[in-house]
Amino acid sequence: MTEHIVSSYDDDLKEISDGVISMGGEVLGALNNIETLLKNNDHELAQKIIKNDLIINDLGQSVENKVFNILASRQPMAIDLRIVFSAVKISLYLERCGDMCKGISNRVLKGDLNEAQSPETISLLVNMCSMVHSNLRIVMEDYSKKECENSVKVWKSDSEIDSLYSEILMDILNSIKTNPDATDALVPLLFIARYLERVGDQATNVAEETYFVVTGEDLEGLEKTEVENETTF
Amino acid sequence: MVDGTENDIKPNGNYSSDNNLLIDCKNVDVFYGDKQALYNVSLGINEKEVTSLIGPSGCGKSTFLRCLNRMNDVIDSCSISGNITINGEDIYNPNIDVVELRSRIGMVFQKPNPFPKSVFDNVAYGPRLHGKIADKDEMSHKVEASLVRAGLWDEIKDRLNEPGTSLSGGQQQRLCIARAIAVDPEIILMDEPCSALDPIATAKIEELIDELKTNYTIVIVTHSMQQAARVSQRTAFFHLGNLIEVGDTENIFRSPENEQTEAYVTGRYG
Amino acid sequence: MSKNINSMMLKRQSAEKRFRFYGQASLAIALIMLVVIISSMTYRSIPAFTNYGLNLSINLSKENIAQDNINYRRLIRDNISLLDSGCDDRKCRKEFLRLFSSGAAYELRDTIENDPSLIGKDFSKFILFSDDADLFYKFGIDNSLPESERRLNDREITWLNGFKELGLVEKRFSTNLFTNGDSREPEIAGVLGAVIGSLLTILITLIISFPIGVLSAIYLESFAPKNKLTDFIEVNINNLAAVPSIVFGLLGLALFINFFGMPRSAPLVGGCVLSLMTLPVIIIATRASLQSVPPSIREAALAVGASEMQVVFQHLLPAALPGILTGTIIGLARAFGESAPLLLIGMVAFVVDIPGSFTDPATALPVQVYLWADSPERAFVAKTSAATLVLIFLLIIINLAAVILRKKYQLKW
Repeated sequence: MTEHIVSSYDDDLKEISDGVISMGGEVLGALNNIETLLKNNDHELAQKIIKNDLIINDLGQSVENKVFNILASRQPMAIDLRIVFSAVKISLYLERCGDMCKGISNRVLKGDLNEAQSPETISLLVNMCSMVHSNLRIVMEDYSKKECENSVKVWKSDSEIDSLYSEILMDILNSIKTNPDATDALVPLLFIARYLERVGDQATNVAEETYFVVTGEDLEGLEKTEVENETTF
Repeated sequence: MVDGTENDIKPNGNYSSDNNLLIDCKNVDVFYGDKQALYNVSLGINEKEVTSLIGPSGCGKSTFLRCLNRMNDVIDSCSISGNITINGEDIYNPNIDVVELRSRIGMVFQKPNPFPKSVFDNVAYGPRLHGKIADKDEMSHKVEASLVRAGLWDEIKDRLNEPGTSLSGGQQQRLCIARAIAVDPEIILMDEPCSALDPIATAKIEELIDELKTNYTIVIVTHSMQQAARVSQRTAFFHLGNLIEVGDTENIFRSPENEQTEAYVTGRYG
Repeated sequence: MSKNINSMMLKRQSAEKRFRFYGQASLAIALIMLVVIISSMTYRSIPAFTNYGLNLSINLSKENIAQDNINYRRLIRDNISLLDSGCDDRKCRKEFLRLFSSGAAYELRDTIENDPSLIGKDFSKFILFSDDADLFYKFGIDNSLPESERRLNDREITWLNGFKELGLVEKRFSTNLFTNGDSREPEIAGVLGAVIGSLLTILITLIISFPIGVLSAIYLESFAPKNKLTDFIEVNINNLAAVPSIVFGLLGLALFINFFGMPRSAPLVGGCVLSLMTLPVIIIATRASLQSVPPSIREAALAVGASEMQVVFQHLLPAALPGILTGTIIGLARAFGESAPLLLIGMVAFVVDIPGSFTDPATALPVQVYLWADSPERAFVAKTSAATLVLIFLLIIINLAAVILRKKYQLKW
C-alpha cells in the first residue's frame, strides 16, 4: 500500500497501531509475570503486576483518544476504517486481559498458593498461562505485521484452551473432594483458571479483529475447515 | 470492466439482482475529437435507487453522466459508440427525439443555474414547454408540489415572484431540483450538485436525495467519497476513462476489491 | 536591499501619479473642447432664432374679397405701400417691397385661413423683414464699402433706419427653424422637412436592418454549421462594418435606383442604402451579445427539454436583448448622421415640401446642414449652426434611448 497523500494521516494511523501493539506488549509482560508468580508465589511480583495495570489502562485511553480524533478529522475509509475501528475493540480486549492479570494477582495476594497443596494443579495453571501467552503473542505479531494466517490458527485452537480449562476444573474439584480442608486455598485456583480462560477468549477476539482488518471479512462466517491463505499487506 | 491493464480483479458485478435494471450501458466509448474519454464502459443503473459515480478529476464520470441524457450531443467534437438503453429503448437510435428524451430525464448541474425568471416561472418552465398543463390552477399546484418535494416550499412560498437568482446558493440548487422534477422525469442526473454549497445546504440536498429515491432513479457524480457513502446504494469508480469497479456502496467503502479503488477512497491517490 | 525596494516603490508611485494626471488632463482637454465647440455653435446659431419684423396693418374692411379667391401677394403689396416710403417710381417701390420677406404672403394666407372671420376687418400682422434687412438690424453694415459692393444701398439703409427711429421695428423669437421646410429665403428656412425626411429614412432602415440583422446573427451563432464557409462569412461581415459609407451610396445608386427603378431622393431608397450600412453593425452587436450569455443557461434549458430554437428564442435572446438594442441604436445613430451615401442617391435636392410618405422626395438633416453650409447667403450661417445643434440634439436623444432601453431590459443574473 502506498502512503497517504497527507503524510500526517499515515503518522496518525501508525500511532494508533503502535499504541495497540504497546498495550499488547504490556499484557504479554503481565502474563509472563503471572506465569512466574504462579511458580514462585512472589507477593511483591503480584503488587507489581497490579500496578502495571494502570499503564495498560492509560495506553488504552490514549488509543481511544487518537481514534476519536482520527474519526472526526480524517473520515477514514476501507482499510483505514477497519484499522481504526478494530483498534478500539482490540484495546478493549487487551484492557480486559490486563484486568484478568490484576485479578489473578489479587487472588494470589489474598491467599497462599502453597496452602493449596496441589502442585499438579499449579503446574497445569502454569501450562495454561503459557499457552494463552503464546496465543496472544502470535495474534499480536500478526496484528503488527497486518497478517492473519496465524491468527486463524489461534482462533481455531481456542478449543484446546477450553479443554485444558475443563481439565483444571476437574482437577480442582477432585482436590476439594479429597482434601476438603484445603478448600479455602483451592477455590482461588478456580478463579485463576477462569481468569486465564477468559484471557484466552480475548486472544481469540483479537484474532477475529485482526482477520477483519486484513480481509474485511468476519472470521465467524468462515468454514472452520477451510482457511484461505490471505496475502500480506 | 477493465481494459486489460495490470489489474485483472473483476468488479463486484455490474448488475445487482435486487432491483430492476433501468439504464443499461454496454461497451460505451466516448471521444472528444481524437482524444478518448471513456473506454469500453459497461454499467447498469437500477431503478428507484441512487447510484454514485466517483473518481479523480478528469476520469470521465461527468462525461458518462452526460451520455445518459445525450447532453454530449451539443459538443460538436464529441462522438459516442456503444449501446445505451433506457427501459430497453436505445436512446441513440436516430428515430429518438432528443428533446423528448431530455424531458424524461432531469439534470442538476454543479453550479446552480436558475433561469433569470421568477421562482414560479422557473419551475413552471418545463411543464409549460411540454404543454402538459393547460390550466392555471393546475400549474400552481404543480409548482407547489415540485417545490414541496424539493424541500423549498416553506422557505419561499411567499416569494414566488422574486427572481430565481435572488435566492441563496443552496436554495437555488433546490430550485433547480424542483425545476427538474416538475416535468416528472423517471431519472434525475446530478453532476456534483453540492460542490458549490456550504455544509448545511449540502445536508439539505442529501436529505432531499434520500426522499427522492423512493420515486426517482438518481445518478449522482460526486468527488466526495463520504457523500457517496452517505447517499448512494451503488457506487461506480472511474479512473482515466475506465470503469474500475462497481458494487454496493457498503462494500466499496468497507473493503473494495480493486487496489486502485482502495487507493482512491482512502486518499492514497489523488 | 530595502533601499532598492524603496526607490522602486517611489518610481512606481510617481509613475502612477503621472498616469493619473495624464488621464485627468486628457479628460479636461476633451471637455474643454466639447464646451468650446458647443458654445461657439450655440452662439453662432442665436441669430437663427430671432427675426426682425414689423407690424403691418392689414386693412380688409375696405376690400371686397371672397375667401376662395384672395391674392395675398397683392394684399401685402398694397398694405406695405401704405407705409411712407417716399417713392415715386416703380423701381423704388419694388426696392421698398423687397425689404420685406417674400414669405409674408404665405404667412398672411395661413393667418386668414386659420381665422376666416378676419375677412372684412382691419388687423395688424407681424411680417418679417427680408434676410438682408434682418442682418442689417442684427449686425449692422460695413459702411466703408462702396455702395455697389454692399447688399443694401444707401436708400434702403435710410428706410431701415427710418423704421427703427419710428419704433416700428420689433424683434421676435421665431420658431421658423422648427416649423418650416427648406426655402431660398433664409429667414423662413427651417429644418422640419429634413427632420421628417431623416426620421422616415431611419424608420425604413430600422424596419429592414433590425429583423434581418438579428435573425442572421442568431442563425450564424446557433444554427449554422461551423465550417470554412461560415468563417468566411463572418470575416466579411466584420470587414463590411468598416467600409466607407459612400461606397454603400454607390451600391444603392446602381442597385436600387438603376436596377430596381426606385424613386430617387425618397426616404425608401435612403433607408435601403443606410440599412446596408447598419446591417453589419447590428449583426456584430447581436453576435457579441449572444456569446456573452452564460453557457450554463443554455445547458439548463436543454436539460429541461428545450429544443435549440426554444433555447435561443426563450432564453438567449431575452438575455442578449440589452446588448442587441444598444448595438442597433448605435448603428441607427450612426446612420442618422450620415450624409455621403444619401448624396449619391439624390437626397440632396432642394425640397420645400414636408415629405408625407416614404416615396415623396425628401432630404435628410445632415444633408440639409451640408446644403446650407454651402449656401452663399450670410444668413444661412446662423441657420447652419442651428441645424447642426438640432442634429446633435436628436443624436443625443437616440443615444439616451439606447441607455434607457438597455437599463430597462437588463436581466439580473
